[in-house]
Amino acid sequence: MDVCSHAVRVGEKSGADEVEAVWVKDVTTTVEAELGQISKASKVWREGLRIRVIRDEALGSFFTYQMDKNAVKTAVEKALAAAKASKKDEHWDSLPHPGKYSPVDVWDSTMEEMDPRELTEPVCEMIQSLPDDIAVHAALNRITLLQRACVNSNGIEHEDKGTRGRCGMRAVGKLESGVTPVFNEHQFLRTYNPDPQKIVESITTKVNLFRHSDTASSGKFQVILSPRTLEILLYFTLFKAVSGENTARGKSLLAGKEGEKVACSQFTLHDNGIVKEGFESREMDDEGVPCQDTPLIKNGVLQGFIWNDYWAKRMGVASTGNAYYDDQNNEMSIQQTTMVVNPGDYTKEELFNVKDGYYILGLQGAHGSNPESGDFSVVCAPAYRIRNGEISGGCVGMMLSDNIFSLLQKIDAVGREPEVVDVAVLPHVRFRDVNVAAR
Amino acid sequence: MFETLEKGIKAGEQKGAEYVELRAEDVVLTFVGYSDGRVDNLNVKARSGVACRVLYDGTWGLACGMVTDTETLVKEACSLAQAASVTRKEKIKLQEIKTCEDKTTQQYRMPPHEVSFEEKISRLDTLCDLIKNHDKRIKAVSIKYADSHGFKYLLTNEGTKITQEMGHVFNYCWVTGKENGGLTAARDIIGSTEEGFEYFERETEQKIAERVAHRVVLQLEGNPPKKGSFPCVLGPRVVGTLAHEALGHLAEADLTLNSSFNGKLGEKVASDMVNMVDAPIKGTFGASKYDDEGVLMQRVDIIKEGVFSGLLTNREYAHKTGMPLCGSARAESFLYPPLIRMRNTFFDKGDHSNEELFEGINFGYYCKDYRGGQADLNSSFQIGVQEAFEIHKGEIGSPIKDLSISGIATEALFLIEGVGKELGFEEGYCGKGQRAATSSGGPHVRVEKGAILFGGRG
Repeated sequence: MDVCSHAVRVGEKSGADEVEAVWVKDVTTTVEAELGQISKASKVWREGLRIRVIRDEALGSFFTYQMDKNAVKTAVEKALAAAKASKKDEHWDSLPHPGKYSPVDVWDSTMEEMDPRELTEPVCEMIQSLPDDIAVHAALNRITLLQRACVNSNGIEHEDKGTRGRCGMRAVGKLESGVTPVFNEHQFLRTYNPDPQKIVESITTKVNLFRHSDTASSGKFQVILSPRTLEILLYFTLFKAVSGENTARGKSLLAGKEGEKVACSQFTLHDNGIVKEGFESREMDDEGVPCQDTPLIKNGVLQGFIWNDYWAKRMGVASTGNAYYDDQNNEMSIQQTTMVVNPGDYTKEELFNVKDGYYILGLQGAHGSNPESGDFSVVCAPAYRIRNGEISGGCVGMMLSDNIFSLLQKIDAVGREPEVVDVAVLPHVRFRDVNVAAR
Repeated sequence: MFETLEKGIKAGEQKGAEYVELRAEDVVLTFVGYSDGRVDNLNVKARSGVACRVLYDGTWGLACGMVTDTETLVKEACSLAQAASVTRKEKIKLQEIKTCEDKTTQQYRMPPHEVSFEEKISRLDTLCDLIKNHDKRIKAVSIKYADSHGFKYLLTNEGTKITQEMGHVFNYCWVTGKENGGLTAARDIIGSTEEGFEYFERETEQKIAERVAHRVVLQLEGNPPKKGSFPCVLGPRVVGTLAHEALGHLAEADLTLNSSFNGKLGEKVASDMVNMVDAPIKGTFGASKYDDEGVLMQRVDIIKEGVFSGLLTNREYAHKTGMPLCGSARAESFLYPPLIRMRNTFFDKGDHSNEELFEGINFGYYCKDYRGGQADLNSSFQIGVQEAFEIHKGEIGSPIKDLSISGIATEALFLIEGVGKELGFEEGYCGKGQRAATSSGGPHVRVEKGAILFGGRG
């Protein structure tokens, strides 16, 4: 917090109209296995300071990994130089103002003290417990300690912290000729309680079910999407359409449809930045605005969108705490926190009560979807055929080609057991009349 | 820099590491996010730090952080490796290399870091205007410009001591079109890791605007594709993605061993006319003189006349597989370890004219430009296609919208029945846990019915 306050003071003295300083520190320890043996242990310290300044309604930003006073001064000067060269934004209002933070207890102190040897144990257990006819492509156990502080010249002064754990593997089943698609099984944890046996059992069951091969056929079918599959699809399609910026810029087919039915009644979707088990849950977003639980679709009716502070003010609404700094692209944007689909009434047995359909565990190519039109055309891998309520075998080379907005109108069952998968908490969902293309 | 790194090397040797590798960098990156005439991000990042990698008791240890902490990081890397090595039976060994001391430089005419922010923004203003003015149905333009400049330093206890000047320029457009209440979009990605801002004298605003706006219009006017398998002709940008996804990834030695191509070296995996290469092609995206293990980047013939002939390796997998080193170990930044990555992957040219490639196709598709792709270890590949046309009786017909194609590489590569004479390339980033600049390409290629599934709805 001190380095942020110092940076804001330096910025104000240097002539900035507004200043924001965000300090981030992530420490990630990972143990990884390749080809059935532990191959590597690593620890990465990433600590940096991001400064945004506004001068004459133009914005400039600088990120540095150096935190001493000289480095901070240089960073402020560089950010100001960027702002000076940038274009005046006639829609600029202000940096965010203080808000009320919901406490989010996502810090597990046992992860602070963890010895790398402890991290190797679940990885060893996973690779040693797998049967010989399943090959581990990669297994890992990872913990991350995240700490952040945000101070700005409008009075925001807040810090938060969280821990994350990820344990799992990617594996393939060996076949007489070649291998199965990759089976991906990971546990996403905010408190450290990996269950390697559960991962092994799940992968083994799924691979063995796949070995009884079946064929896919083209047509319209009932299709069950696993939580992981649904997350990938929503991420690359629907969550671009609920971005406030995209609605404001005419890039979303959902713009102006608040209050309208956009999905089946059993579908309720939130962006929940404070749900305890959410991998992206935290107290504030990347510009210090409180994270919150934002209803997006309730019983099929569109409720609203996700916003950062800039686009919210520009459109006369309140930020939903979805500002996101993409460290890889060095870009501030709007992004989901944790996508939450409310569980429905269906048991797994009831969901799989399908005469002829498919069960999809993963997708290839969802990132090539067209978020504007909502069209997607993806390979399903791994995928199973369902016949008469039973999984009859694995299918290779089948595709789903449909549209996310029409797909939401074809939900016919929502599972009652949600799972935490990466940035989502979702149940299985079954759709009807989904367009399947097969070889 | 090297004085500090030397201390880390000594610390590693004192701890008993078999191999100590310190990879430092000092790079400044500029990013401009631009939308509809507004600069929404002008960010500069000073990225500096060190990755300390050791091989200790046959296991890797890696610690990444600030250069000033190098000695501490090396000791930490040794401790991590020691903890992880306990259960390892087969010790990791590295292929020996001839070490060198070298310093490489970039031959920029317009170093991107010397071009003013104002000039960079002015270029985006022009580009945005040109795109918007191309067609009244274009409703939104998002552009991302990025460049970098700096130095990478590599020092090992074996004697490698390399300084590489590094940098890139990159331009990404995402353009939205609207007609009759419907929306669509198309993109354009270009970049260079060799040229400076002069790259945009060749890739002018006019050229980029024409390309991306035309794709949006075709998307607006396109018909949905049929589903099923059809004969098709793939353009160089799609062929490149096919090379990258269908076999390129599975020729990365760390992936090959668990894939459907394991054990197929020396075997026929494609039709006779297929030659596929990964090489550091001068002027393309992703090439440099050395990789991040200090190995000279070299050409790999992945497929020669239909026979699976080569793998991409790093030092660990070259030793494990007995395949030659080729300089494919690359890391996104000091925060990541080097992984085996493609550089510039392409199908080599053949001897068919474009007319011959289209000849005799009664109905099929011409896939001209891609939007993403993905591979699986069972050789299943998927390619999103953002610019495609029907082929009717050997002639290019109506545009197609939102197409995606897929196949199984172990089968599809045998069904290539024509390879064109002229090479073309595309640039982009590949994600394999971390990001790497890559390019890929090839000539026009004709593929038989049965090789590729078209994921249409019609």
